[in-house]
Amino acid sequence: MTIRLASLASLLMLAVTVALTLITVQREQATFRADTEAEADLLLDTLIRTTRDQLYRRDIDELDEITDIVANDETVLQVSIFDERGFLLAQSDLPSPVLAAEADSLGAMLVEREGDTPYLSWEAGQLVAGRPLIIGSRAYGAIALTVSTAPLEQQIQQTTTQAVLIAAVAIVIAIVLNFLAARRITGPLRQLTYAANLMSAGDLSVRVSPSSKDEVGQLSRTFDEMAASIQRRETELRELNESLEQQVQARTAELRQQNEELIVARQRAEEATQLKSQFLANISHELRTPLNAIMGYTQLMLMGIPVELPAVQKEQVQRIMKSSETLLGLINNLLDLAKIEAGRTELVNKSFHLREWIAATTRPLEVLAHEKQIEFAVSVDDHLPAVIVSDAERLRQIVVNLVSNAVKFTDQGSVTVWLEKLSGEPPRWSISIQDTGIGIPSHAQDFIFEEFRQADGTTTRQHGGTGLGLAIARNLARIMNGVIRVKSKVGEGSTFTVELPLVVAEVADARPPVI
Amino acid sequence: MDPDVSTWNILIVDDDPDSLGVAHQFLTFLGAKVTIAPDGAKALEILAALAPTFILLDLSMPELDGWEVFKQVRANPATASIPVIALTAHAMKEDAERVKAAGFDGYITKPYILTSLLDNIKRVLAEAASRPAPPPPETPKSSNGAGHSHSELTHESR
Repeated sequence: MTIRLASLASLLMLAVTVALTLITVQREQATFRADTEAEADLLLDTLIRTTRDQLYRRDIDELDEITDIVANDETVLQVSIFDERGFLLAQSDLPSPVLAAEADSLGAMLVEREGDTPYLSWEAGQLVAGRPLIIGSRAYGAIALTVSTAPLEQQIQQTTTQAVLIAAVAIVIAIVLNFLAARRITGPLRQLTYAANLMSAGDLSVRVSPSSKDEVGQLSRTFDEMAASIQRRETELRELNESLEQQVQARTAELRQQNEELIVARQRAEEATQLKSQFLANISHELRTPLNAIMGYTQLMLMGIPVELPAVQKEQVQRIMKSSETLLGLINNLLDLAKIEAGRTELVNKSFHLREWIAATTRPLEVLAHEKQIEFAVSVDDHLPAVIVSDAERLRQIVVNLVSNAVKFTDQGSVTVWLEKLSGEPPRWSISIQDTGIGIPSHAQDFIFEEFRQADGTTTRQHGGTGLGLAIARNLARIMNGVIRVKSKVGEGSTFTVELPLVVAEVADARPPVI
Repeated sequence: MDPDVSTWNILIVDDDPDSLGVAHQFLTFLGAKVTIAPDGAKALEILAALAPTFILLDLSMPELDGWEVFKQVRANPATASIPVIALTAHAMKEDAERVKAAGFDGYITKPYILTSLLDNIKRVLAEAASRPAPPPPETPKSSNGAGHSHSELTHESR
């Protein structure tokens, strides 16, 4: 595009130059002709006036001399003087006298000429000018001049040469200007295009770096700014990206490490639990073995094996047996509690007949109550289903602990156990144990469920027990998603209530539990 | 003296001398013939020559333990039909299940009430007598209840 434009401009320039030259040459020529004609006319006029007398007098010598003088001029090639008939009298390049035999055609034409204007004729690059000498109304002769056009030719040549030179200079200037224009406009534009292409190909570091301050320079600078801005933004984006990636990697590594730590921690916890239950099993075994010896020999002594003891010793040995039983109960309770707290107690939920289960559970406790002359009653709400799903053994432990406590702390009156369905959703049911015993002071009701705590520090000795029964009952209720509450008034008795989720057995023919 | 007990020929295996002592004195007093073995190897040695009415077998013993002795007793056709009662201080719930699964005829935990020991032994023997043929080795006793009944003193009972 730019090349075409430049060529077009050059051609136009050339044409203009040529046209100008032609016009100039033509004008020069015309001017020169007019000048030459005026000069010739002036010379003729002068000659006519100069030669008037001599012609009139026919002084041939003088006329010849005049022609020679005039012809001395470079531009005047020939001067001729004719008589009244047109016969040549004198000529600059002929010796005097000229003896013409007949009339000269030019001279004859000149003497016949009328009017004041000179005869002018351009012939083969020469001007022939002539004028008659008229005195009064009669022609006495005529004078003709031949003027060289060499100066004209020379001047035309010179003008043409000048024009060509000017044209050449103009063309050179045009080319230079074109080149400069290309450098100043098309160059930067091409550079800009190239840079834009590079940039679109992904090279954001490309810059045009213009030196000019014109519009193209301004455009280039804007382009540079845009490129810098894009590059900066791209750099920022990349940095942000990298930073994000680093963050993600760091976070991932952190998570992986946490995961590994968690796995290790879980393994340790599992190992710890495993060790704890192994420890519990070992403790249980190691405590029971010597206790077996104590209780075994004690029983043998009481049975009189191999010999009967004296009565006084028998009583002592009975005390040993009683204490051994208490010790065994304590060991069992402690292990139970430890197992629950070590998370080793797994619920075994099975369906069982509720009424059969409560009867079987309370039968041995009823015996204890009757031994103390206490009334004992069990009732089951009709709204409760026949068969439920729960851990019958854990439930039994809770009931045994609570009912034994009730019997233990009641010296007269009754112990009543009742099972009922609670209203509301999700379905729940409760086991309540009410006694008419000594009761629990309100301040003590909060801590009686804690290990080794009874309402009164002295009661352990007075009433026996390990102080672990309620703690075990509470912990068991908790792992069964239940709660134990107590209502009590000193001197009137206590009511313990276990509330549990009720799961009705889907299978109707559930077998009664084996207790 | 117990008329039933006087017919019994018992092998008691236990590494604890007091455990042996209590059971030995009690059952001998009742009229049983009692042989004692302080370890597993000795027990197997005795069994090569003796055909006891039943075996009271402790589980935790150094060297050859009760589990291994039980396995070998069952594996040997000459002794396979002898009732074996585990008499152990392993009283956790898991122990009871393991003993039952292994196929012991009975499971009694230490410490025990002497009279219930007697009751349990009688129940196991009655159970064994009602069986027509000796059971194949490693076959666990089905849910007859007597096979894993144990002392009332054991809180793990269920």
